[in-house]
Amino acid sequence: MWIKILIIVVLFAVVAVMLRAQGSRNLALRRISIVVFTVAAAASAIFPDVWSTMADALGVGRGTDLLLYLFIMVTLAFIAATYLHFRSVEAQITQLARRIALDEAGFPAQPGPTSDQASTGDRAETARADDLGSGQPTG
Amino acid sequence: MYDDTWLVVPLFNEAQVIADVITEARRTFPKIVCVDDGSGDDSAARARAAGAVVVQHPINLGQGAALQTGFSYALQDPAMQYVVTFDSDGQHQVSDAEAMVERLRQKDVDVVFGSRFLDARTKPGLLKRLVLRVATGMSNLFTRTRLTDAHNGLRALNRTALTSIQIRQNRMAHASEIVAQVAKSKLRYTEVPVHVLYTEYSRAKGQSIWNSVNILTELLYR
Repeated sequence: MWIKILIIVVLFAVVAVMLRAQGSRNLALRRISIVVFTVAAAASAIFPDVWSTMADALGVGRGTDLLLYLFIMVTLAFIAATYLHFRSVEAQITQLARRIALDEAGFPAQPGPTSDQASTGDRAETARADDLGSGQPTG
Repeated sequence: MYDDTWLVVPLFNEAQVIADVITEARRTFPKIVCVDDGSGDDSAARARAAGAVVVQHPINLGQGAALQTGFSYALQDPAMQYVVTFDSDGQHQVSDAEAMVERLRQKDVDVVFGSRFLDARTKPGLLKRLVLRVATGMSNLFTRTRLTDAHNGLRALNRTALTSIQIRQNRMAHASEIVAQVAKSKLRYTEVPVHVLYTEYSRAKGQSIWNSVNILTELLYR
């Protein structure tokens, strides 16, 4: 019984954390989980019975079952994290490729201050009209 | 006459038709930017020869990314007041694009969406009609708008709209994303009837209805 609650709670917690964690917090969490994993792996090597004891306490049949459940949860977390990471890398590549494309194309009418348009999007736009005359070099 | 308008044409492997499309459009719109999304054929060269400005993505990023690149390019032109997104495969009518810009010139809306379902000119097949209806229903639900045709590539935006929109969906979900951002930015929008021409060519290579599955997934997993 307890294991069901545990699985569901951990599942949602992992997804929630993965979805919200960004930057340094994300990295720190990843490092902490590596340490926790290492300690747990070491501990179960030294005290193999600990899994059975834990399984009993949680209401799971055997220690191996508990390991399987944990494995599935960790795998799901890994998939979620990888997916999010992939998405952000993709966004970066897009910005980079757009920058290259726009720089390569140039803009005949005004060769000057056009290069920080794509990345900053709408904010750069309001400032642009004033910048036009300055002819600031782009590269 | 249309010196204040940029036609943004996402381009991916359309060498067969792009020159005709650009030549035809250039009779009305002198400023056309083709965003070549890493085509493997000579689409880019043909578009350039036909008189379009060509901006080339070094790698294939998707139609949404191509549109945003076109928007960013058009924003560099201080004379630009309006942008029309226009398909490269000859499905769209230049006269429709013209009418949409004229609609924007009345200054009471920021965005004009083209709709295939406001009159009887466009004749999609039964299955396509059904899929488009479902897609529109989903889009209206997600974005809290009321449109009759959410996945039409023909739209016109004014400068205000262009500066408040930033397309992040690289692939197909950008159509819904544009609608969502228009709604969220409180831009004023309307729909006008357009005629989408389903030629043999566009039918042969056009979006398969499988794409609706992809669009839905991309929207759900933002």
